[in-house]
Amino acid sequence: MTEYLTILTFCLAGTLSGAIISLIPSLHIYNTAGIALILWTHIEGVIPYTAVAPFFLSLVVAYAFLNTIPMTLIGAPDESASVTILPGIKYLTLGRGFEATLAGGIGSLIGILFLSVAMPLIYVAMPFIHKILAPHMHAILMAVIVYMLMSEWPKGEGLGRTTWERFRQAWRNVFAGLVTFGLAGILGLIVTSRTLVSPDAGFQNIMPVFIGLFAIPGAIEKLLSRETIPPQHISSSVELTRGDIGWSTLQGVIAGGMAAYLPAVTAGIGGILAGHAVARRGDRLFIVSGGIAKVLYYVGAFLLLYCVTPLTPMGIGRGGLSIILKPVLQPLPRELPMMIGAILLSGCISFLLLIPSTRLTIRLLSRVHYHVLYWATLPLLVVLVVFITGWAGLALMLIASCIGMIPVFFHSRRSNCMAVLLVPIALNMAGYGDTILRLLGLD
Amino acid sequence: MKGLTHFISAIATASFFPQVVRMSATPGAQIDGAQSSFILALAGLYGIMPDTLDFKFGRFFETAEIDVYPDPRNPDAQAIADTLGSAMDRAIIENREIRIQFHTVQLSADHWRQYQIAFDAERQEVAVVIGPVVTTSQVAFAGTEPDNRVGIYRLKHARLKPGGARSTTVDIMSGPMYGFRPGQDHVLVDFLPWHRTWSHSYVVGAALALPLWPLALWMNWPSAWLYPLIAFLGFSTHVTEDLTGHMGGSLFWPFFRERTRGLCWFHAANPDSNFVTDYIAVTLILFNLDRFVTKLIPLSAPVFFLLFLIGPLLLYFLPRLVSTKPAPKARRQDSVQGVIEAHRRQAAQEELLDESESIVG
Amino acid sequence: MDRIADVIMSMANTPNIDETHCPGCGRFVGPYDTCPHCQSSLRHRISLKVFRWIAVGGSIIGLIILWIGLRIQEVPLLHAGQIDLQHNMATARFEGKVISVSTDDKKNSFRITLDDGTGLIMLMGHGKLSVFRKVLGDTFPRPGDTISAVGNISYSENYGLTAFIASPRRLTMLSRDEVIRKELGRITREDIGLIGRFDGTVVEVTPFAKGMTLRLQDPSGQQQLTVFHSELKRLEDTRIDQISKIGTTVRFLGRVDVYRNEIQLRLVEPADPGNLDVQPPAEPVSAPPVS
Repeated sequence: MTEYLTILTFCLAGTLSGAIISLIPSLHIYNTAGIALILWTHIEGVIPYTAVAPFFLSLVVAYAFLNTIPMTLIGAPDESASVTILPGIKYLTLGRGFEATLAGGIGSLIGILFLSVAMPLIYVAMPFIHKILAPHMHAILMAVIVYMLMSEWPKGEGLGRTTWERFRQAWRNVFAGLVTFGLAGILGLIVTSRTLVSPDAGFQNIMPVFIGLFAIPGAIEKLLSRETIPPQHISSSVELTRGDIGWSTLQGVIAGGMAAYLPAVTAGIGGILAGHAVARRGDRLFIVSGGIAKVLYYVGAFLLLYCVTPLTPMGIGRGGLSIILKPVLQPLPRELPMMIGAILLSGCISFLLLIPSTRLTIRLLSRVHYHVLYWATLPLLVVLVVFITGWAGLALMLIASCIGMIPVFFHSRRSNCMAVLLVPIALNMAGYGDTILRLLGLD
Repeated sequence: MKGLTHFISAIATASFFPQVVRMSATPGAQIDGAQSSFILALAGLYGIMPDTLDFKFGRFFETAEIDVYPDPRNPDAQAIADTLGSAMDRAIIENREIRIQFHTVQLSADHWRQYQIAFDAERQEVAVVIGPVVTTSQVAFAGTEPDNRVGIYRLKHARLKPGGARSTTVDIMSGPMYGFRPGQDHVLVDFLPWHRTWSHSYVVGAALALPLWPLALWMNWPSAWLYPLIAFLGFSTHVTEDLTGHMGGSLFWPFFRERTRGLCWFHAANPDSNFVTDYIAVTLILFNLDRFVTKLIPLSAPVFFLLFLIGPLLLYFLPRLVSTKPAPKARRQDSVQGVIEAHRRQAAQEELLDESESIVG
Repeated sequence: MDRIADVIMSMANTPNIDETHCPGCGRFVGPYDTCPHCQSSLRHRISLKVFRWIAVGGSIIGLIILWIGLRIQEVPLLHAGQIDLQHNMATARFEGKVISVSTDDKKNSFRITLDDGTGLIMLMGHGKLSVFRKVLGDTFPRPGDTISAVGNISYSENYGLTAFIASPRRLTMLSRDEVIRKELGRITREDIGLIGRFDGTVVEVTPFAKGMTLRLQDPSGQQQLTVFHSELKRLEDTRIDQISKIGTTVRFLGRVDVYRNEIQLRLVEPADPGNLDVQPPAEPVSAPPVS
């Protein structure tokens, strides 16, 4: 009984902590989770071992729900949603930001329910799928890369007197996308070969890169923007039909499933692929499916670690939280029901917290310009990077920020920045790690 | 079909070759012939290539005789309709193809003027309706439509065939091109005349795939002959799949340049045909990867496909099979016709009013 | 006919909306330097351009500086005893004595246990054995060698402290442990733990459940070599069949071990071709027919 109460307490603590962290624009849960784990090892006994996984899982569940608020209301997407943010902003422009946030939250709730119901089936099927796909993972990731690059179409009108002028004008965004992908890929190859960051901060050596690629450019973009947030209506209902929920679930599960299982594929990239696969249009569909995909990406990926079967005796390690907790966690399949209980509890509480938090944020935004929030966040991010990874980390962050700004100023896909992981992982899995090190002269 | 559908279908086609599946495995996985090859991704690359050639390259090399740039501050619907209609008439009078490119109207970094182009075969008219200002997210600002927003041109020489022309909305990014050609007893309307021509030809596919052979030999890749074959099959899968649509393709360009009409089974963007094809392709890929390498699935092929293909697809269609509600109509088109009808009613009322005024006055 | 403007709209006398519109024709041009409609220069629009160039130029220059910085930077040395959770995923250098080497030809992988004086660390190479063998050749580590290796630390509850080595050039031999050649008859209890080169002819084979004991003989005497099936399974060549034949000559890298108080020899990394050589007995010369 004491153990049960302890786990329950830490689930609630994780949910509340996650909810607070989620409201800070551009701050990623994995950064704080990593720091929390290190703190835990230094003050062992504060969180008992049995409550470690439920605590961190609740933290991530709350993030998957409440991160929708800064994402929709002030346009601060994390790496998982940088391509699916547009419909939310559209709602915000129409004064329906509250409704969009709740629609995203409903999506996340559907995601939690889906995981709870489908987990037994996932437990049986995933080891087979994993064993079948694992030998070809490099080829699958390369296929994702090829599709991402090939499916970015020219956005320009193609104006001009000559063919070349029309071509150049239209290709601006495609070319910027290719450049972003290439530079991010090179950065990934370099930082995965060696890094400037001291080994003492090894656990967060990719943090400056991610903050640079996603958080800083997003913040700069918003600070340069002269747009104002129109008054938002607090609605008592959400415009959703049964059809919307059905199609969103299909799209969200495909997007989240891919993001949860495929290394370096985020919910955003999964969203592009799933959106094209389901081939249905509609902003509600995108918002709700985005909520589902986020839960599967952050939470579902971690639960795969508990698929401990004869085919996968070590589970299927996927997602950022698995990497963070790997040093202290030895998952056992019998703990899976407890984890499902934890995500259900944390998910429902997070949804309840989402409603007043959205109201509060809207009220705050009516009094404080969103620029102020970003001006407060930017130094916070810089201090965090310097504090954990030192000046070398700051240098890395600046380089990554420059790359992350290319899609912002050339209107290309931000998900191209994920090449920072996709390229090195795909090439290393194919066995080209040694060749790359030799070519870069970093062996 | 959509890009992803072509991409996955091409990979599914390649997965039927046991050697391809084994080549694409990592050597550490203890599989005979494993070479960490990216040949499956190559199939996908060639699978999406025909549309890439059109939309990323071909369209910029195709020029239109007439470019329509509506005035951003005072768009004139009648002038646009007159230009469109007279282009169709000219195609008949001059007995040649006339191409017309409609451009978008960008008002600021995030604002565009929407306008719609409609063809009415019943009345032998073309109409242009100026719409509201929209954002890049296609959010319309209500009340931003201009007063004289409808322009109608009655065709004088060209005759429209019912269903022979596709109406369209122009708002963000880029606008469409139409090609008008004289037909036997009516004008032939080609939507995006540069699309699915040379790029959707098996001959071009073979020509683009062949250079992979010397490249693979030069790179010393084992089974070098497979690379061009798989690339060609990926390309051909796309061309063949597109035959299920309305546009078809120029299958044997440059020998036969005419764009053949498709089987008209589905529209390219039809969600059901796209999703079902994607799902079948993924199931086939998984089945092939297992039967040629891992051999883990403890089910016979019929049971596997019954459980993982037929069953889920039945579930997909089940809600519509049991639903009694009629399928929703295309709302956008209805609204265009509605505006045109309202314009006609208003014009008739004004005419009546003028007449009555003249009688009374 | 000027194909740009079949439908020319009245652009005259309209004020310029803002700097994102062409001063020449008044149309929206976005972030461009030259109006795509009338080709007017738009040089006054520099603010966005500055950011664009900072983004592109900064990325390229930054990547170059980063690359140069990393090339000249020494990878820091870490000791197994000081490694903590915060070092997880760090790239670091380790120096120490090789305690054991385990290779798996089928999985193309190897595992080297290193003792750096403060603790043990496992160096792993998944799917890289063939590359390491090809590049390192005779300098592929053996127990007793002192090496330096650069690897990515992976700290896990399941596997403990591990470092993954990506390239053979990240493994340097600091000092090679000299392997002595010892005659079978001169092995004594004082040699227990010794790794050396031995050779002898198989004179007796005694199978047991999990392997076999081979009695080897050389001019100085006899000694028994214990071989387990699990060791033979890793050999992918004909050595598996030949080793158990009487008269076969076996040359191998071995370790002097003791089992139930009896000295026995054990193979050291037989999968490495340099560590085990098996020569079949010469064909018996047939006697001439007696008439």
